[in-house]
Amino acid sequence: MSGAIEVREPAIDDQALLARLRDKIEARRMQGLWPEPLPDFSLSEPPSVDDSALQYHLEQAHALHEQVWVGLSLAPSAASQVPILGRLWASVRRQAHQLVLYYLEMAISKQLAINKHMVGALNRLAESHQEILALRQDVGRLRQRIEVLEGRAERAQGEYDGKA
Amino acid sequence: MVVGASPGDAVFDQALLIRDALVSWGCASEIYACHLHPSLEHLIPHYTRYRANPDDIVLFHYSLGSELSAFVAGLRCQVVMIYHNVTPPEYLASVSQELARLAEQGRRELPEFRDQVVLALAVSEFNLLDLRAAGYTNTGVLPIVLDESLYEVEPNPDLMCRYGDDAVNLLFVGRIAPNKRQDELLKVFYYYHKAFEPNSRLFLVGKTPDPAKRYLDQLQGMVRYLGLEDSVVFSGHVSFQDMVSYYRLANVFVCMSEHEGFGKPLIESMYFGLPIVAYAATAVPYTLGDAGVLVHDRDHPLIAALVDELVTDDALRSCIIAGQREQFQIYRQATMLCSLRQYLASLLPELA
Repeated sequence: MSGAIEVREPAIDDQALLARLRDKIEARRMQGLWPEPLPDFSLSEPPSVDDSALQYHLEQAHALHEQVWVGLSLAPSAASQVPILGRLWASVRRQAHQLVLYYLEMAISKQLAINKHMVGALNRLAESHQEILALRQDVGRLRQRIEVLEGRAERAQGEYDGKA
Repeated sequence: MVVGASPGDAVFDQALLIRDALVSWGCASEIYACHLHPSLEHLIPHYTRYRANPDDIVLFHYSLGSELSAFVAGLRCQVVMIYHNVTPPEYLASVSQELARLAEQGRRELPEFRDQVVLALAVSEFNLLDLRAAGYTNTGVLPIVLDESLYEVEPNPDLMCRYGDDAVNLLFVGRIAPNKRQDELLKVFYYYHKAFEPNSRLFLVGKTPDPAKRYLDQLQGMVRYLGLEDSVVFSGHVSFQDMVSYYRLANVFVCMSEHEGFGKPLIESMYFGLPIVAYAATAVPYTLGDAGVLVHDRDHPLIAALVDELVTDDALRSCIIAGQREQFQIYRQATMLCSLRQYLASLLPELA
């Protein structure tokens, strides 16, 4: 192993190979075939949503947006314990509650459809938010690069003027 | 037991191979999965349908945190773990927050099975380090293998016609992702293309998950900036046949990835007789063994010169390919199944 490269094949001397590669690069340089050095490509990873509150609210909205159904909930009343009339009273109460639930479910169905659209829209907005953060980073980096290039251009112009 | 069952998935492919081998050895065997690809829903039962028998041996393919872990932890039978590596969550955060969460769960829960698991097998020496660090003692290595018959498929004639000229083709296979460092690969290719072989191409074969689209945009921006638009091919998601075609078209496989749990494309390259140049990170040196060429620095000009040497020096190329063919022997099905039988013989005397 020669540090930069490692060939574990015993028939190959990686020191000699490394020297050959360096000669090869030098020969290309001497022939003027070497390309311009690479600029600093500082590629950023896609930023995650850094607003933890936004993330939390989105998760909650996603988890809860369909959990709005309610079941029949009838607390026992003293009147229900009265012989004969109590059973009749309990039956009337149950029917009344069922009727209320019927209309409630109609309203909830409409609300559910609205919730789905709201959660979908919020997710789209969160994606846009991420995109804006990423674009801001890009703009910052491009500004820096422009400043570097302007500096180089000014120096080159100065050298050119000096020679002229 | 596998977390996910989908066609072409390396973990599921290995589970299938093992099931078929067990059946051929006279052992009843069935695969159960937690998440099923729609095309497999009628073929692979959901894990909740499994009813454990105290005499059963459950082979638990561990690759990610999931609800399957709690299920396996509650089983009252012998469990053998096959550990496929859990990608560190930081590498997945840019791909999927949910995957990153499951990976974090997978890493955290790994030590919790050590008292229950009677044998823990890792798919590489690199992954074995994880198992030992997690406290597993009865361990071994059972590598991922290739089903070689699949790779004998005819290549796609359109691709062979389009790219089958005298250009030198460099190849990397893997999803577009920041940790795969396709940006580093572009830098290597820039020097190779400009200084050594202008008649060359770089194939970047692999899909781009939605959250990595921005990284793809950045890579494409780099390609435009470097003036390599006509020489870099982003294939996107490809069929198996197309993937085989790219391997057949390539002259050198170059990998600059900084995290590989195993690196199946490395053994695919060995199979196709492609010399490999790879950055020595995570499992890569273990998967390559004594084969291929490892680079320890991101010295782009030097790696470009190395690629050129592998293309132009026939003796060097042949020597590297011969070493890779030798290394490939351990990734053959027969070798892996022989090891598996030996491991299981301690639990199932009829396999001895």
